[in-house]
Amino acid sequence: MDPIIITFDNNSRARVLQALSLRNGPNEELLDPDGQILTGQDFEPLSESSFGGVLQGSKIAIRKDRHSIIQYFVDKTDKEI
Amino acid sequence: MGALDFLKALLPDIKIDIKIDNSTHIDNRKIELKDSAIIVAGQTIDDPRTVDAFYKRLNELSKEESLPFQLIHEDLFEDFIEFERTYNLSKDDLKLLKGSLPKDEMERLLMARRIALAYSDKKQADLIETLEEQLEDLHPKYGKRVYNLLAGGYFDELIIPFAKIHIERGTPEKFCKFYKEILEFFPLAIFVGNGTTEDKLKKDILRRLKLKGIPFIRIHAVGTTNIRKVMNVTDSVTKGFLTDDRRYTTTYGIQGQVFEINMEKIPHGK
Repeated sequence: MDPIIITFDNNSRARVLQALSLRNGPNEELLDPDGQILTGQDFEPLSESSFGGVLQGSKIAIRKDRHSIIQYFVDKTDKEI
Repeated sequence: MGALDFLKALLPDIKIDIKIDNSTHIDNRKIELKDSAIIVAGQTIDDPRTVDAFYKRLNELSKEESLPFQLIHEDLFEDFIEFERTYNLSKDDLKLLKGSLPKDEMERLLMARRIALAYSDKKQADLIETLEEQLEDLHPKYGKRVYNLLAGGYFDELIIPFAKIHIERGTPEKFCKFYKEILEFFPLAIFVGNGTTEDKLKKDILRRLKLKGIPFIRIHAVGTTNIRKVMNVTDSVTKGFLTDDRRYTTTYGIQGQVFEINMEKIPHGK
């Protein structure tokens, strides 16, 4: 069976970020526990509103857009098959 | 393991007493974090002790190598499910082509397959335009061509058989070159499939013969029936042109053909 999917909405997002030990930086970018700016697969900074989640098998956060999902499956082709 | 059992396993010290409502359709893989509650198996858990325990567990899991589930914003859920379905349906092709084609080609192919899936599902009709626009935005030069190749059946009839030949021979770079040429010269290529009539083939050739400045037209066919169509039609329309008829055999012993019409006419008297 394909993995379980946990979704969050805008109202639960802050609590999800807190659970992932992510916090807001001075310029609205997200910071990880080491104070480094969180980036997506495109290496661009992520903000709370653009945070799309974290996919299984990866510690890389994704941007809240369709292209991130596409990139995940293209990368999965490389790793899995 | 369904979503409810998964949640129970995540929180072994918490008693989760939920009755599954069989009258409503429930996504058995989905757990929703909504407002300050958790929704699973169609039921809402808003007991603070359970919700707190869940986020505490999420925090513990975030310190491990990776999460044992997908964690995504609800806006991405539908896309995730559909691209996952596309990926699962295309696994054989993706497995074959990875390593021969670069990542951006694989991305184009996955997006094209997603569009094809949307066309086959009436419920997704509204989404098609958005998906096509995104393919063109992300891949303006070749995105649509890849989709047209896929929709025309040429992936199954031509490109995949070619890939198999070269991968088995240990020459994937030749397949990559072949594929790039197909995309580059797509307007100059004609693909003859089982659904192509001789009438349509003749019209396609004549239309391309009128194009100014093109160096050649290449007609690709797989299968003896399709090759016969090519020979029947090209006999009359290629008079006065130099032609080249190259044949090959696919891994499964099927005959293939690349018939080229060189736009340089045969000099008078020769």
